[in-house]
Amino acid sequence: MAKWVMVIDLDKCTACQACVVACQVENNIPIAGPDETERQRIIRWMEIIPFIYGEYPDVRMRLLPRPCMQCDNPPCTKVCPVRATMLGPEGIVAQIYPRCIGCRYCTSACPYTVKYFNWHTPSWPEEMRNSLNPDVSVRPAGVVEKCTFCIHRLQKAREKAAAEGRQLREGDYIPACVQTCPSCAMYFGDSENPKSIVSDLIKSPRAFRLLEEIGTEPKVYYLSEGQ
Amino acid sequence: MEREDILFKPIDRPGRKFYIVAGIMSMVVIWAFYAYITELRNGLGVTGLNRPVFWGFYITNFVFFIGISHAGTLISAVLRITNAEWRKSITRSAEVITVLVLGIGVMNILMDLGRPDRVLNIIKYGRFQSPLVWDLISITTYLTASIIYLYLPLIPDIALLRDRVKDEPRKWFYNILSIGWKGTEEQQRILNGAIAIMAILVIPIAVSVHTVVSYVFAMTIQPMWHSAIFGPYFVVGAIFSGIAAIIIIMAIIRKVYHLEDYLRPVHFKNLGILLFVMACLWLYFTLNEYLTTFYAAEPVQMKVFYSKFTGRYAHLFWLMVITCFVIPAILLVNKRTRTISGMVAASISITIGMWLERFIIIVPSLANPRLPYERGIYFPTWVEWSLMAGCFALFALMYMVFTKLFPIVSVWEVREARETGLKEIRERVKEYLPGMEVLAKNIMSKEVIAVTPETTVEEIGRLLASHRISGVPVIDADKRVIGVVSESDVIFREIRHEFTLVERLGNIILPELRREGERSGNTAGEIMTSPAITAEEETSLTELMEIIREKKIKRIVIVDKVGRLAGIVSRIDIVKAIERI
Repeated sequence: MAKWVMVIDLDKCTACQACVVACQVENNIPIAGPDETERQRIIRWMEIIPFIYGEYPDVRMRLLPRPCMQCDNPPCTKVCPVRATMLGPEGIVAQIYPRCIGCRYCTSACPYTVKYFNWHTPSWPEEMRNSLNPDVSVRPAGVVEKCTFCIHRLQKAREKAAAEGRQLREGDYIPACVQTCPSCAMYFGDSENPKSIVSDLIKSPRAFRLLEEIGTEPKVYYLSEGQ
Repeated sequence: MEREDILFKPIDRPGRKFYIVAGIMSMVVIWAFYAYITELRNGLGVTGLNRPVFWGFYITNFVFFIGISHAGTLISAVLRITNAEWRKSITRSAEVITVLVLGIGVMNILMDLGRPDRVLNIIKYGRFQSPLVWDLISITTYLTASIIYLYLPLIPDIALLRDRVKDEPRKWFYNILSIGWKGTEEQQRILNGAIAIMAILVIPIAVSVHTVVSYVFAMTIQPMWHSAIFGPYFVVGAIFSGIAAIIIIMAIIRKVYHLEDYLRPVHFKNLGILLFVMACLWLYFTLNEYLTTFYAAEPVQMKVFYSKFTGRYAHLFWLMVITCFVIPAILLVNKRTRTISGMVAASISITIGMWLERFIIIVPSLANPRLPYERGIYFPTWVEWSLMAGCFALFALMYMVFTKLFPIVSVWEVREARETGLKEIRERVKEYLPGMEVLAKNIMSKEVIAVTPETTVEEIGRLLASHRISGVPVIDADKRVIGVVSESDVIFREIRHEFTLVERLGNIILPELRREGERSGNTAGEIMTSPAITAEEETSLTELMEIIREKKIKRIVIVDKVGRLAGIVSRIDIVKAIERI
């Protein structure tokens, strides 16, 4: 069974936010608008978060692209009362939008705060409405959503491979953010496959994961910046 | 019956004030309903909630109201089990609180759901691993048990109402609810048994409810939520706020329905003591919670800690400490302020404080996520304020309606207490207090003047007069009691003989005949009452009094196990014994 893993090389990352935009478009994420953004209601499955160290004048800032960590031991799926969020067989934490009752227990339990709630019925500017991605469902108001590692791309890749009568190959399935990254800072693949790039990268001494100490076993790895 | 009229008064005639207050409350509820419709139509965006503060007023109110529910049924059950006699006039008013606020607590969860239309998914796809499902199970169990526990002691009162009301619709209503209660001994026995079972059952359920409510937070790994102390901390807080609610509501119904005679200062005093104990416990738990966090000083925890102690939530945190402990402690410790109004003031302070406590537990943890996002801010909107006001108004409204339908003080229990309370308490005290169990052997006179059957009546008369006693036991050679000669036995004989002139003459003229007369009717053996009414040395005072009352006698001869004379208990001995206790 595959185990999908993302690796983000912080040395290469320029924090250009192309991944954020790509994600937004790929996954039909609604536009919050300035007022709702001000109220912290914006939805960003992929977000650049700043770590700021030190005090003026000796300040250092690190910027970190942050998708859902796709934990192997997810605190969010544990607490869901209706199994609307669950750990899939290939390690992707799934959301079932038509089942979610909107209690926001998973959003409150996630130590990375990567889960988002639809405070309103999602809306897009007129021009964008016709360019929604048909592969991704539009979420109704009142349900929780989050990064899915573009799981619809996995389904499509599988179907395509099956049609061509072959196995899924390395690189057949990559999420939109990884595909878009202009500095090639993001890698994606099956860590169970010893020949994949990610299985090598996660063994690197530079590799770390966020909040490793709380035992959630994330499947998003970062390669630390060189000094 | 006359003095119970005050208990039925609110049911007999709803006053004008009732309709005015009910009207105001209904308006608030309707306004809240409008707010809820707004939320339903526009989504939770109309609230002040956001990311990361996903939970705010609704969850705070949920925990708060479920907490309030703890006092009613739990306190009533504990008092019932411990046989606290003073509970009888307050249990009903407390139990109603539980049933009503549990419903309101659950409503707050519905208000909080993004998709209330899918709430039945909890049954369809329910995961038992989720603490929210534990809540659901625990709360519905508690609600069911509380309704039964409220209803059972209500049945005899409903039957009283059924026999009291005249108009047809109400008679029909009470007739159905009274389920054929006639007050027979058999029915009473079954009812008492059922109440006793429920009283025991609701205690673990009540404790479980707020424990699992706390688990919603404690089971996560979020800073200052993930705490092992939360279960008992929440239960203590729940009982604390619940008692405060009982005191406030009791004071209101006391004033409004003129129940000064039923809800006495002693009820408030006892609840006030309990309230102060809970305040101390609350402080103890709070200290434990914050001191351990502070000392270990884990950075993620400290962010939340400082946001409470010195940061954005500091004013609310310190207000909580003042309202939950400082104000109540000052009011409850000081003898001059330990009045009903003082206690109501303390209770209002605690109710506010405990609401703040829930808020202070929920929001700062969410507002300070582990990763360096912007800190969350949360201001409730008019929708949340309106729904919160609606919850309180709905509670007041439903409580008022209850008092118009059923007596808010348990009529039959108070009546029963009046009839048997004193006796029960005396029996109970005797059970555990040494020296309270008064036995015949402790109070009897041991130096008994006794006579043999051969003693002459003249001799007996002399004995009675010289010792100033009213009767003597008659014993045989074995000291076995065979009868009693009392004053009246002697007097009746005298009277009888006063009027037989022939006999008197005969006595003077023919002394031989007189001796003859002595032998046939003038000795103790002939005039005594036999068999004597006796009791054994181990007989209790209560039983002695019963015998004296029932047999209409003036003294009881006390005998040992084989029937030999041991002593005598006269009326004066009983008076002395009662004086001692």
